[in-house]
Amino acid sequence: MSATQATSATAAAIMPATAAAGPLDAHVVDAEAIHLKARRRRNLMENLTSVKFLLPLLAVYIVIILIPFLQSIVFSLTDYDGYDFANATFVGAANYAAIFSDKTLLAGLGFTLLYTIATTVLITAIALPLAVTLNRKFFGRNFARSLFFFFFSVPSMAVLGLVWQYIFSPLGTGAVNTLLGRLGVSPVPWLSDPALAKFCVIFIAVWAQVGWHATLYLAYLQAIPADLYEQASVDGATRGQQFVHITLPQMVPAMGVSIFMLLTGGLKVYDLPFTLTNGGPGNATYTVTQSIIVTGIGSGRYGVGSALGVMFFLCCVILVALQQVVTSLIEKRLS
Amino acid sequence: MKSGLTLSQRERIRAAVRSVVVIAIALICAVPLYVVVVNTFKNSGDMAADPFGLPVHPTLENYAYALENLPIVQATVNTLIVTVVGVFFMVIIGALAAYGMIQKKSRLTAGIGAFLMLSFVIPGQTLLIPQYKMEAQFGLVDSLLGLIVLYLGGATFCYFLIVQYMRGLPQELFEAARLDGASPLRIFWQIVLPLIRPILTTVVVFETMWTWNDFMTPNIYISSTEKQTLVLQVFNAMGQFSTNWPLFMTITTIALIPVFLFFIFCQKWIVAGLVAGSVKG
Amino acid sequence: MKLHNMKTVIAAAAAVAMLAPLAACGSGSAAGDENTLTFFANNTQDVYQPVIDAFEKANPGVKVKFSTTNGSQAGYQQTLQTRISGGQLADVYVAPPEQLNDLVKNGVAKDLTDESFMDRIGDTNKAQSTIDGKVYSMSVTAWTNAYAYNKDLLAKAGYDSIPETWDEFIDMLKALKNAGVDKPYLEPKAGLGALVEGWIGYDSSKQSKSIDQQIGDGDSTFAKSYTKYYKEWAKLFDAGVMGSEVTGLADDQVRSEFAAGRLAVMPSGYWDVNTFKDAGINFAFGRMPMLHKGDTPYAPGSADSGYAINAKIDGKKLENAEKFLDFLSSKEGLKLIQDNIGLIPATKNYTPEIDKTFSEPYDLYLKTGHVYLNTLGWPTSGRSALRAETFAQLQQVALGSITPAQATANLDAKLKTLS
Repeated sequence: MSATQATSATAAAIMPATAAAGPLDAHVVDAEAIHLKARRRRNLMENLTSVKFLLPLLAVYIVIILIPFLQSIVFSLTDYDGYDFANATFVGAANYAAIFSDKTLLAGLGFTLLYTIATTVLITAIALPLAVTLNRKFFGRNFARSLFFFFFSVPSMAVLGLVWQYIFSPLGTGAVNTLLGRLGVSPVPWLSDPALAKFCVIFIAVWAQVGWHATLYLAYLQAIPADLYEQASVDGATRGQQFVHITLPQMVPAMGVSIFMLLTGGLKVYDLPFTLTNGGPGNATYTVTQSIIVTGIGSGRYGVGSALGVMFFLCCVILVALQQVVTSLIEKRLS
Repeated sequence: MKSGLTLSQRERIRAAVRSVVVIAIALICAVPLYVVVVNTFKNSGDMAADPFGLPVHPTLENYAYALENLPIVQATVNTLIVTVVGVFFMVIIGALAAYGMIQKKSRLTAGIGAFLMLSFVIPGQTLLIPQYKMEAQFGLVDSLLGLIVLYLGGATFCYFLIVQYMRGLPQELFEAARLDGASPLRIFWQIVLPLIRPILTTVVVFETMWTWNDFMTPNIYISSTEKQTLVLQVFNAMGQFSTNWPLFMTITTIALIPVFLFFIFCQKWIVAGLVAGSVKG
Repeated sequence: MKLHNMKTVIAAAAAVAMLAPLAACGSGSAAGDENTLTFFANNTQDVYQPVIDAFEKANPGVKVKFSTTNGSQAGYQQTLQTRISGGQLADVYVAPPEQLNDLVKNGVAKDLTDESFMDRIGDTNKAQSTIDGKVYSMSVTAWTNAYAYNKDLLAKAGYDSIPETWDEFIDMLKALKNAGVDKPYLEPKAGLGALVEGWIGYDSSKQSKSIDQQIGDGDSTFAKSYTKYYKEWAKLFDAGVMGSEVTGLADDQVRSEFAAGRLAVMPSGYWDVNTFKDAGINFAFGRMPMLHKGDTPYAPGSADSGYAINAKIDGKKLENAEKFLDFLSSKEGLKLIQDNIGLIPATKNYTPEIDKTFSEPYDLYLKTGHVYLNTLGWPTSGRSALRAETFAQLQQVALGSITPAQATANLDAKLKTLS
């Protein structure tokens, strides 16, 4: 591909907002010259081709996710106990009423939101510079890249929960406290203080996910044409200026993806707080998903669990819609 | 601007600082991994007494036990089948859909896009029983195919990452090929796939690790020993009241070895080779 | 256009062809042949294998196909429930008491009342598997909590066993602390207030209906009956012998402290014997102190989950399932269960040999049947959630953010949302 093509390509890439939200792109504008009828027909044909490629995914999605979810909406209106649905009876909105009378659920909601926002902000703030650094040349770069990608791949949350419990043990013999002890600091109640326990859960979540998000950013960084930087260097732009004026705007779509994953993943968080603190101390790190399991599904009250799931789904839809609106606004401003 | 020599010297110092800082951070992050591996050489008593230190009486009994008593080979083959077939279809289905999506911007495709996004906010826990019932109806429980079918649900994740990446690419590239008269499928194979290699790599590696390490799904669905996946072998370390953590960690480590090899073999492709260079021309 | 369609079709066909052999190697096993007995248990294959081998040897021609899942209670229950929802239940399975009601309601547990092997089962174990006068599972073993103590550390304060009453026990912990034992006593965060159940067990034994049953039936409340016990338990913090750090300690950390010889006393059970032996410390298991001198010792404990037969099987298969349960409750089976699975047999036909470090709690609690589990009195559908809530509330008491009275009031509120 020639250099001129690449530059014009960049121009398009810099304006992701048009790609994401703008309904008119170049070829549609061109088409204005063509007869209206032909255009409609072409539209239809293109729609059909598009949809043809989308069909396998739609089929998978509908069968594996959507139909089961619709079923669980039905369950949420019954007293289904999770065994034989034939024995369940219709109870209307009773399960939904039961949810709102449970105080621990509110505690769960609070921490879930805190966790989601904190991990999203922190991971984005760390992963992006990390990716930029990993994209530069230095000795041991491949080793470092591999390590970041690999270390979080320890499969079992059960093992990780255990290991971190020893690291953040509130006793003087915990790993962190032993280190602090050598510096003359008395034991810190890591997992046995509500505020610190929240911190620990968030810290570990950041640890576990930052490598993957850095890799995601890395993939996008690779798509920035090198000549953009070359041109900027020739024009005398510093590293910092290049980061602000080239890297950041180019990374907006990547941030949109990463933040979306973090938000949805954060809202659904379950494994980590469950194995690390089991929601404690008290209800400090209790999450919404944990209550779906503990007070619903795990207690033979599948109907209540499903109702919780449906409510949770609705809340998530609202939050994520908000995020999408905000992202596209930012993209528009930046472009 | 400073003179060329100072600049290159400064650049070299910067690179050295980067090496030290990044590798140090990476190593600190790897501490939990060290804890897992070091405890595989201890017995429960030794681990309980000192979970961080090097083994006082180093032993290979956990590995010997695992390799002698557990169907490691069979489980590895099962996991390989599930992972390779599952990830292949997941990624292809996702990439095809992403391609279809950017081909045409209309109310219809925008609607489908939003509809697909819903899958990210559905709490998986409530799907457990409906999915199980469905698989049971089709006779898919306790089978590798059943696992693969469930993993296909991950295709929406692949789709999402790929479509967002494609949107950032210069649309003229697809346009030019289309004007050349190439069929959509040919454009997909010959132009689109090479273009999105960086994100494909990310997605493939992520899905591979996720599928390989998934415990939840096979735990519920697989009941026959001969169909167990590698991760399920940790059952052999989990008693009713207590867990044999050193053995648990040994099995975890054994399960990690193939992923590690996969990583070594693909390393050039995964990390160094992420630079597909397609856009740079 | 046509050509691509063809290609898509071919690709799809190829995909199906690739997957077809996989389908063949799965599924279809549920029906099975009548001499293969499927068995779903909550423990590992290697501990059950000797039991199964012996059974197969005693019954030539019958094969047992073993399967298991995540050993922890919650994981097993979840998997059992999901499999039942899909109609994939094994022929013989372990039925946790928490789920028995649901299992019976859904018609998947066979009535075992009149089976001949049930004559061997003691009344305590039978009672826990009984619903409306019928016995649905065969529980052959039992568990109890006990205090594990480090003999060397206790000796530093001049003690050689756990004292009988709670106040004396706290005095001992104070003495240990003064003797330089930094951590005399720790409870894991999901086992706080373990011995409260022993106290309630004793007080319940003097009434016609257990205290928790009264709460479950709505005749009493947590606030009315639990507050005084929680107040007694909270003395640990007032006396400074246990700190709020327990709210961040899981079983494994507490066990580690004990195994490393730093911790003097912890709530434990028979399942820890081997770990402590491996660690090479000088330990034994002792009583859990009661509130008043002369109280009959009680400890948290119960019958273990029993073995149930799938109510949907019949004919030869049912016959084999019955043979299997008969074997499990025979002297040979019980000995194998004890030696390999580490559970303590509690039947009429067999007297187990107990590791000498555990003889005191065995004699005090299991021989007498003086064990008590509060959850058994609570409404079945909310048991596990309510139990989790007791720990969450006691953690807050430990942190000093609420009083024992507030904790019990909160438990009443939670119970209300569960029924």
